[in-house]
Amino acid sequence: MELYIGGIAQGKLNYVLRKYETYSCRVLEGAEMPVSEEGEEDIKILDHLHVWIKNLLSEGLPAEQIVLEYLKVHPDMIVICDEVGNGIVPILQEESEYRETVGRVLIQIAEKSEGVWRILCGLAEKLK
Amino acid sequence: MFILVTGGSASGKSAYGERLLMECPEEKKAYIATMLKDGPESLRRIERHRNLRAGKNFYTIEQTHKISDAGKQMQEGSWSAILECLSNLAANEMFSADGTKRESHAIEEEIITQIEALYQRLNTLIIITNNVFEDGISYDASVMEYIRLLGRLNRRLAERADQVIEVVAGIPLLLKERKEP
Repeated sequence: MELYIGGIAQGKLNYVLRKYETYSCRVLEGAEMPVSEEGEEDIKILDHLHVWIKNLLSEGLPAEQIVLEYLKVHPDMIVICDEVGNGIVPILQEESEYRETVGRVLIQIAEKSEGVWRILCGLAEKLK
Repeated sequence: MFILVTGGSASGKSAYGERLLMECPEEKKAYIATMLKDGPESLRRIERHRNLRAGKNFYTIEQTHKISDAGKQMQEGSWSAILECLSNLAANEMFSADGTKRESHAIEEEIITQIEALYQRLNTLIIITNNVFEDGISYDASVMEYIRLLGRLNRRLAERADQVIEVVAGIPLLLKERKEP
């Protein structure tokens, strides 16, 4: 597993696609999860993980558990997620729960990942 | 030399950028100010930045739109400049006082072209930008469009830049340095 985090519009997916341009890649869109991950591609990329988490929470589902179990079954996934935690903690409970869940999930994915990168201005900084 | 400096609000990115400008070998140094004077808060911020650069012998150019015009105010000689800051410039170009908004892809191309033109006039250009991308808030559509515009500008300028620096708590972190061929 690999993890790429960074703010919105920093070029995270673009960076990953360029890095693996010699491989066949399939992008699984977080807004459409869960989708079937069947396919012959070398590399599978789960983009916009934060959107998947947001959708799961809004349906009242245990997002943390669902995402981590999915990744347990797909340990070779490349995960891309927005940094959403560098702001004021929102007063609305569902908003703070969302940030809380994204943060906790990222910590656990980072632990399991062979590499973690932060993307800023399209540039990658290796964190792990 | 083309340098992009980014960081959060009050991270010390401006002070760092101005220090870089001080160290530039060029005799003439321009401070290109982009902030609109449109209220007590902006006047207070302008005042703070004026004090920050007092005594540094920078030639101040106020240029809230069409940034390439700043070059027209530079007389003969070899110049370096700091552009403070890209996030204001992009907002000024995108939003008008009457509440109307221009399409962001056209603005992106304009700003990139104008920065290139400005850089032609300079030996060193330091651009200060802003990391406004990490709070996870879904703002209304026009603000999201602005955030994405600034993201695209940052990425294109970072690709163009010889050096990209992130300032955290006043400490500069080197994100990119182009090696001389």
